[in-house]
This record gives sequence, C-alpha cells and structure tokens, in this order.
Amino acid sequence: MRLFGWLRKDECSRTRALVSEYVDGRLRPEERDGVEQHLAACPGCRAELESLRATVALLRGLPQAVPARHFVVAPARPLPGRRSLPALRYATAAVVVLLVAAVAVDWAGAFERETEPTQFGTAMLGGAEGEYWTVGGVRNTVNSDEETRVVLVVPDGTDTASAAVESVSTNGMVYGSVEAPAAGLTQVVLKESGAEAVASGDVEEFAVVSVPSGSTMALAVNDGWFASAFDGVAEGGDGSRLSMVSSDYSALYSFDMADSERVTATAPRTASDGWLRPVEYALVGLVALLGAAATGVWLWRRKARLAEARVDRARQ
Amino acid sequence: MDETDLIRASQEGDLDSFNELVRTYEKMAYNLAYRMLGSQQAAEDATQEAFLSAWKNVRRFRGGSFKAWVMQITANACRDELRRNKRHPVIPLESLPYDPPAMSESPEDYAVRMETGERVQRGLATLSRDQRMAVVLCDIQGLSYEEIARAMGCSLGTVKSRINRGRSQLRDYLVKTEHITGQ
Repeated sequence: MRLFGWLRKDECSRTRALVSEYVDGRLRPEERDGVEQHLAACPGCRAELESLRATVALLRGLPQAVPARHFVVAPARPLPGRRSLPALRYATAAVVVLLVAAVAVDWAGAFERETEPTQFGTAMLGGAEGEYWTVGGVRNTVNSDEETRVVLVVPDGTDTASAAVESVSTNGMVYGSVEAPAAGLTQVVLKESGAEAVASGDVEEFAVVSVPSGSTMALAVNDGWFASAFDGVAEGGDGSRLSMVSSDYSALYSFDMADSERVTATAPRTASDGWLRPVEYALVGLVALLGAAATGVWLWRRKARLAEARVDRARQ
Repeated sequence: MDETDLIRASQEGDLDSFNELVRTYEKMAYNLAYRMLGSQQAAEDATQEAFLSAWKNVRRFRGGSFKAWVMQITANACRDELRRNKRHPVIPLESLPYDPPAMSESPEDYAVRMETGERVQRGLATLSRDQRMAVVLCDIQGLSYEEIARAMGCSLGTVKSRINRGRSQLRDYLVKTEHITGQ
C-alpha cells in the first residue's frame, strides 16, 4: 500500500509537470494518454488541472489595452543639438590621444634626468696591523701596508654628514662615525663616538672600500641598508668601478675607482618626472567627464526623439 | 499588398509600407509592454522605441514569423526599460482605455472583466520577468511556443518550463486571493 502511495505520488508530480502543456494540447499522443489515465484516477491532479485551466481562461479573457496613440515611425529629421555631438567626439578623441601620449612618454622615461654628482668625501684609514673593520658583517683586516678608503655620498647641499661604522679592533668592539665636515672636502675622519647612534637620513649612501687587499665592500646606509661585495674590483686600475644599489633598489650609484671625484648617481625616476602623473590622472578624469557628457546627450536625444514621435502622432 | 510584400518594401526603405506593419502589430506590442511594465507612459515609450529599432533593423529580418520578430524587439525594449528605470510600477497605477464591451456583454459583466484584469495584472507582477513575459506572450498574446522561443531568444524547453512555472505561480496567487477555487 505504501509502495502504491509512493508510485502514485511520483505519477502526480510527473503529471503536474506536463499539465500546462496538456492544457495547450501540445503533448504527444502517448504522453497525453498517460496524463488522461492518471487524471481519471486522481482527484488531486484533476483539481490542479481545473485551477490551471481557470487561470489560463482568465488570462485569455483579459481585455486588450488600447494604446492612446499610434506608433508609426516618422521620417528622420535632424534634431536640434545634433551639432554638439561631433564637437564632443573630437574633444574626446583629442583627450584620448593626449592621454596615450602622456602614458607613452611616462613609460619611455623621456623626462628622466641624470642628477648631478652628489658631494662626497674620501678618507684614507690606517690602522695597526691585526686590527680589522667589519662592514655589513664582512671583516676587513687592516694590514699595516693597507689603506682603507671610506667614500661618503651625501645629499646635495649637505655640508656635514656622518654614518655609523662598526669598527672592531683587536681590543674589542668600537663604534665609530664618519664625518664629512664641509662641502667639497676631500677627506673624512673616522671618529670614535662610543655607542652613539647616528640619526637615519643624515647620510644617503655610505660606502667603505678597502684597497688593495683585493676584497671590496660596498655598504649603503639609509633607512634600510643593502650591502654587496665585489671581489677584485678594487684592484685600483683605471676604469674599475664600484656599484652600489640603494636600499629600495630605486637608484644605482656607480663609482669610478680610479678617480673618486667622479661619482655619478642616477636618481630614482619618480623624483624627476613626477609631474607627469597628475597630468595623466587629469586626462583620465577628462575622458570620464566627456564620456558622461556623451551619455547625457544620448539620453536627452532619445527623450527628444520619443517626444517628437508623440507630437507627430498627435498631428496625424 | 500582403505582409511579405510590405516587409520587402520596408527593407527597400519604404517607410509607408513599414508603418502599415506597425499598425498591424502595434496593439500587440503595446499590450506586451503594458503587461510587462504596468505603466501607460513606459509602455508607450517602450513600444515606440521598439518600432524605431525595428525600422532601423528591418533589413536584418531574415524571414520566419514577423510577429515573433516584432515581439522579440518589443521584449528587448521592455528589458531595456526595466533596466533603465527599476522604479517602474508593474502594478497599474492608472486605469487604461481598454477594448469596449463586446456586443453580447452586459455592463456588469464588462465591469467584472475589468476588475479581474486588475487582479490578474497584480498576480502577473509577482512573477519573475522571464516567466511573466512567457505567460503574457502565450496566454494574452496567443503566440505559439515556437514564436515565444524566438521572441525570448531561448529554447523550446525553457519556454515550456517558464510557462508552466509562471502559470502555476499565478494560479497560486489567484487561489490565495480567492479569485479562483483551488484544490
């Protein structure tokens, strides 16, 4: 009995899925016969059919609305205000061209400039044999016949600068600072300053090069620091170079080892061509504005077209 | 000229021939728009937009049922209108001029038919957009399933299921509001 009930339920849902098409007479003969057989035996589905038929009958009996006017199409006629569109189009095209040009120039870096060499100082550091410096974790032993050159690169216009140098002597740990007392100086002195820290930003770049031991160290001291070792670069011959990357990788500093007075520094791009970005943003804004204006004109013209069609109907 | 000639002439740019076709189908298109949008003004705008669009695109008509093609364009215009203005009342806020009573009809019967019309429109408003469109095209406009499939741009199976579900839901609404008797 339960099985029968379950089968019946299944029959019912199948019938109800087909009853809408049954009302429209769209079932194949065998489907139709199946539905009719079930309907004869199932009062629930019969009621379903009847209520659906009543619904369809109501829909079919609905009065048709009579439109208050005709919708015939009037011959095309130029609308006032049409002339404003080409102007808008040309303006948009011009602004887009400018924007593309600005982006291209920005990408190509055409306004990038090489900054002038920054001030620098050089110090010859001697030391007792057996003493050593550690810079960036690398130990440089001071031999009596060895000189250590300290190159200090400071921002333009800075008269004095100092940087912390970790110095380890045979006697133990010493903290020192390198000082560049005046613009154009040729020598800096390593000065012990105990454990005193030097404020960040005083020195833009700081490099210690030890020659001629064959081991070269570069150290950038800034907010963060980046160190790399160049073995064998500083043998001292003409054309040897020491390169240094700033801590944020935005600038590359290159030092000519043979002539330390010719230090060149390539400044980060953002500093020199920064003015291009606001121009680009302004152009993007202008494009958006012109797009909005074009949409507005289109909507307005659509409204005018419909209104005109309405007037035409009234005239007929 | 029969419809095929009118269509051919329209495709060759004869606006008068096209407007003959407009007069044939405008009531049907307007009724679809009115049932879909529920406002006289919106229905007029959508219908006008549909016939302007039909005139612009009549060259692209490639045979088959012109009625289904016109209804497809009207259906699209209704979709655009619904998208453009989501605040459209689907339930009518104004009473429309309807067909006058049939000769055999008493004024009382006509009034009942009007009242029923309002109620059914409220019921239609509870359906989803697609179900409403399928039911209106099938039961109010009398299109075949095949024409509805073309007008709505969907398969025959989808048409069947939309009509089936739409009618069932409308039936449930009418039973709930005691307009027809249920099981």
